[in-house]
Amino acid sequence: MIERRFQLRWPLGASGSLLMLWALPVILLLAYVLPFAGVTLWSVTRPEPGFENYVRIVTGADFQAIFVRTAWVCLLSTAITIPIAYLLAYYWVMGSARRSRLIEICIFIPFWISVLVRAFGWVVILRNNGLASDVAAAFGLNGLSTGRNVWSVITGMVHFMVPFAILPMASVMRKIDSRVLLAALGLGCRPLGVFWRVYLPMSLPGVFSALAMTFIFSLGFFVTPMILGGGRVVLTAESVFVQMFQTANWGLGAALGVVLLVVVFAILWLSQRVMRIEQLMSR
Amino acid sequence: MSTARLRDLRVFPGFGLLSVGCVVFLYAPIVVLAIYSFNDGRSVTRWAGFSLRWYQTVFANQNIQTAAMNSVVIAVIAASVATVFALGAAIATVNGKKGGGEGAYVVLTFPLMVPEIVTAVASLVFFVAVGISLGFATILIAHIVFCIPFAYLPIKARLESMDATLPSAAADLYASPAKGFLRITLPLLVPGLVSGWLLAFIISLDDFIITALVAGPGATTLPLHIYGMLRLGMTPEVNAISTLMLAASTVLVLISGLLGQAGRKH
Repeated sequence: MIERRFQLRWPLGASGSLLMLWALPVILLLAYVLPFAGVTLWSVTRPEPGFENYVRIVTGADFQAIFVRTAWVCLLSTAITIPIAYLLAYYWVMGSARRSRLIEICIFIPFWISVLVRAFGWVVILRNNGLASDVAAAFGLNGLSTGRNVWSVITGMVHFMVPFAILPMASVMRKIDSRVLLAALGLGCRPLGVFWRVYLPMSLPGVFSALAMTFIFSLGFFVTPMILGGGRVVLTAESVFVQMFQTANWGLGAALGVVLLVVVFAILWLSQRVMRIEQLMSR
Repeated sequence: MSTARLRDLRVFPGFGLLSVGCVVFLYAPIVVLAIYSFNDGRSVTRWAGFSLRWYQTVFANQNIQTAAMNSVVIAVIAASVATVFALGAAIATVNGKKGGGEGAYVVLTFPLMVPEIVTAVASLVFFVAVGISLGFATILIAHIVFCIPFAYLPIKARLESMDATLPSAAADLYASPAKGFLRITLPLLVPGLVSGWLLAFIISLDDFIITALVAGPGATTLPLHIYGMLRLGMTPEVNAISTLMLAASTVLVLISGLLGQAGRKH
């Protein structure tokens, strides 16, 4: 039997397609690797050759405070994002057609709105004497601490990340065979039991990818902490910027960037098995 | 009958209410922004009656128009160039599954996970080292590079879900490779190309961090301009621009949604 391996026809022929296969990745690799190599070089040569900058980052109390704050903010915002996203993903996949449509719209529209605009929206609501404190005052809660603090930053970050976290979870949930759920129901399991003992365990791979993705995303947040924190809640990404452009400590800023990159790669490497970047895009 | 039983799984007590709360949370800042863009007063939180004066201010502001024009021009060029590159890469990776397609795929999607501030600093270091003066050109180059992965994913997804026998059939019927590509593969790919282009377009349009670092003095885009306005103080003028951007985004989402549905029917 002749094996008809599918080959997309394409105008450059076989050798051309091999060239094409690697041409772009190589270009992209250069477009990323060369600049990153430059950054690494800066981190060990400015202001003078050596590992001064890294020593400074590891031992400096100011940087330790930034790292600890970043870790807390990222962990908390990831921990808040995941349940919200799970609930919405669940109704998106399992809900009635109308509800599913409604949730789809509310996933995709905020998705497309500029991060600046979204952060600004929260500033309006959360700032001192903003809408949130007005509402709280109407319920008799005066002096509620709002404005530029860690909680505002976390609110803005969660708001940004929920739509991203929904996608990998929903794509795993879609693959759950509804006959398995019916079987569990048929064998006398109560609906809530089916959810806890069948649905939730089967959807866990999606939760893990969302978890890894959300945490990695949160590490790189820059605009949201800058606008909602107003300089009081400086996270690692913003401190890279501060070192590079406000205090003109180029070597130190570069070294912080390298540290951030290494941490992200380490987390990516750890989560590689459960994670597929592709799920970012699949509906 | 079975759907009736599955419905039992939807009605957990309290879940519905919680999900309504989540939806409100997602919409709250956006709705508030849009409402106060019609405020007659200067405050973004104190309502002083309905008016369109802030929209008039936006349309009369020459700087905003220049910035918006720059943004759109950059986004159109960057998205188009990135889509062409991404198309080549997608065909190559789907074809070359055995010859390193996976490796190429990882390289192509990796940039999506790198924190943007690091990419921004790296791009800046690169442009400074090579000696290209910062401005419109550096923004454009940086945008093309970071848009490629975004344009690539939908095109690749479309290619993989396409009926693979059609190009082969064209070849069996003596279409030259070029003709088969232009008349069969390319038209079938249109939905993927459009959503890839739209995604790249919106990513480029919204980008703040990389643009801010490689823009240099003089060149400005809409996000940079909005950031400058936010620093000077909040007036409903920012709300009005945001609402206009929101309207534009919504139209784009609707277009891509309609195209997606049309694509699914085929």
